[in-house]
Amino acid sequence: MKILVCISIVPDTTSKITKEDSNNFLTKKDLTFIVGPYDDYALSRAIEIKESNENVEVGVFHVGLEASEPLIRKCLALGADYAFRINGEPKSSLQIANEICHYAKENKFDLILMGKEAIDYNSGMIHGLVAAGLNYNHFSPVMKLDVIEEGLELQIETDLGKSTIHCKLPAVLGCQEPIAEWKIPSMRGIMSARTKEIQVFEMKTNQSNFEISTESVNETNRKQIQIPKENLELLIQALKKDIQFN
Amino acid sequence: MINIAVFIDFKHDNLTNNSKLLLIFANKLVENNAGVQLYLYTVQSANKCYVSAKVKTDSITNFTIDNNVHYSSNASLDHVVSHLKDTKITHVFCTKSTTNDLIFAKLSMILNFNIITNIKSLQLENGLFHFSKSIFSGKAIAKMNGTNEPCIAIFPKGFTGDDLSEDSLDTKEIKIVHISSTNTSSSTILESSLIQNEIQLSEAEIVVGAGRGLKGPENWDIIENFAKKLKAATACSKPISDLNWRPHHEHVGQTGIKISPKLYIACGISGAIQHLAGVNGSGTIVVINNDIEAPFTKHADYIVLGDLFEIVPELTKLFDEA
Repeated sequence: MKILVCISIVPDTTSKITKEDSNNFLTKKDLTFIVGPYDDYALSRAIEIKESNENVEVGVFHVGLEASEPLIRKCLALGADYAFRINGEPKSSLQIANEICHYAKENKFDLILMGKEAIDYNSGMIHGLVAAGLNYNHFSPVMKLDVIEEGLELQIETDLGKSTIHCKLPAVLGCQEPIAEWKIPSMRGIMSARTKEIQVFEMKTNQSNFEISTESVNETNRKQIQIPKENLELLIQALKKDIQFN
Repeated sequence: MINIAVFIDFKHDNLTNNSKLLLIFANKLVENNAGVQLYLYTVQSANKCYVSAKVKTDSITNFTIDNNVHYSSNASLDHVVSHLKDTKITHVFCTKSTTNDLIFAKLSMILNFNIITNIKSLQLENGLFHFSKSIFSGKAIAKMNGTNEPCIAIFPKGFTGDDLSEDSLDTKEIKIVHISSTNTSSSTILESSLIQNEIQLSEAEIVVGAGRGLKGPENWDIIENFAKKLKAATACSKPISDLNWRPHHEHVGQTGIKISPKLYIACGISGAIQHLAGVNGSGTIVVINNDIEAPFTKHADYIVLGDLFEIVPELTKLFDEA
C-alpha cells in the first residue's frame, strides 16, 4: 500500500502573530515553524500503519520553499520513506490541491492523508478538493483509522455525532486527534534520514488571481471588568444588557 | 451578471438560524445591487420550506439521493453541477458545517471555482466582491479586494451583525423542485451514534467551558448543571481532553473546535494562547478564575476572581431566580 502524507508548515501554536512593518502582510520573522499539528497526527498514524503492516510505503509531500526542508527531514526521521517538495509559495487552497492532484495522478497512491486543516489559513478544504480532483473516496475529520481487508475502517465526526465507516481505497482523509499520538524521531531515525532524498519539483499550476491583498492582526479589545464575587448579580445584570438572545 | 446560489440547511423542517441569517444577508445584496439574481438550493431532503416574505425567489431546488436521503460527501454531484452550470451560477454561498465543508470542497474542484472559508465580511460594489476572512485561528484577518472571479463562500456562525429580528414573522411558503440522483458511494456506514440531548457546541449561543481548575472529571456536574440552566453547550481545554476527563469533541482551541457563541463562560481555564485562538470569535467572554495572573483575564469582558466551586453553583442559583 502506498500512502502519501501531505504536510503544511506553519507557525507554532504559541506564536504571537505580528504585522510586517514595511508592507501589508504578517511577518514571518522570529517565528518558530512546525509541521501542522493535524498533519503531524496524520503522519504519525501513517508511520504506525507502516510499522505494523508489510509492504506499506509512506511518502511525504509539501508545497513550499527551501526553508521548510529541515522539517520535511524530520518527517523522514520519524519513518517516512521518501519526500517531495514542490517549490513555490502557493496562494490558494485550490492551487495547493491542484499540485497534489498533479503529483498523485502520476504516482498513484492508495491512501492520501493530511490534517483536517492547516492552522495558518484554516481553509480545511484541501483534502476535499484533492479527493474531487482524483475521484477518490473522502472523509474528514477522521478520528480513528484502521487498515482492514478490502479497505479501511474509520471513525469520523459528523454534524450530529460520530459514525463508523467502511471505506474502500483509494481514499483521501482529513485527520484529527485522537487518531494517533505525536511521535518524536529516534536517533537512528535522524541518522537514516540524512541519506534519504527530498525530491524537488517546480509548481505546475498557474498563479491564482484569487489572492489575499492585505493581512492584519485581529485585536479584539475586551472590557476587562472585574466583578466582585460577593456581588454576582452585577454580572447577571451586565450580561442581560450586553446580550440579545434569539 | 451575478447569479448567487444560496444553499440553506434545515433542522426539523425549519431553516437553521445560520441559514436564516445567510438568506437575510444574500437578499440584501440582491436588493442593493442591480443585476444580481438569487437562487435557492438545499442538499437536505425538504418537504416544506418557509422563508421571509422579503426573499426574492419563489422556489427552492432540492437535491437528494435516492429520492429522500440527505446528501453525503461521497455521493455524485453530477446533477448538482449540471444544474448550477445551466443556471449560470457565478457565486455559491453556504453556511459552515462538517457535511457542507465536504460537499462544497468537492463542488469547488469540479466547477473550478475558488473556495473561501471563515468569512468575516463581504461587500459587493460595482460588481466586485470584497472579502475579509479570519486566519491563524482568528489571530489575524486577511482581506481580498475587488474580485469578480466565480467562487464558493462558506460563512461561519456569527459572520454578520444581523440578528433574526429582521427575519420578520411575515413568511411565505415557496415551491420545492426535487431533483434526485442515485447513490454511487462505495463506502458503507457501519454504525452511527448521535449526540443525544446535548446542545451542539458549534451551534450553541452560550458555551460554558472548563479547565484544569475543575481538578477532576468527577466535578463536572457543577459545569453541566450550570450549562443546563443557561441552555448552553459544554466545552473544555486541551489538557482536559488529553487527560480523558472529557471527550475530544468538547476540546475547544486552535487544534480543536473553534466556537463563536454570543456568550462564553470559562471556568478554571488559564487561557493559553491556543485556547484563546478557539474562542476569540465569542461575543462576550466571562472568566471565572482564582488567579488574577491567568492570561485569560486580559482577554475577558468580565472577570470573577475566586473559587469556582463556590462561584459556579452560586451563579447557577442566581440564573434560576433571574
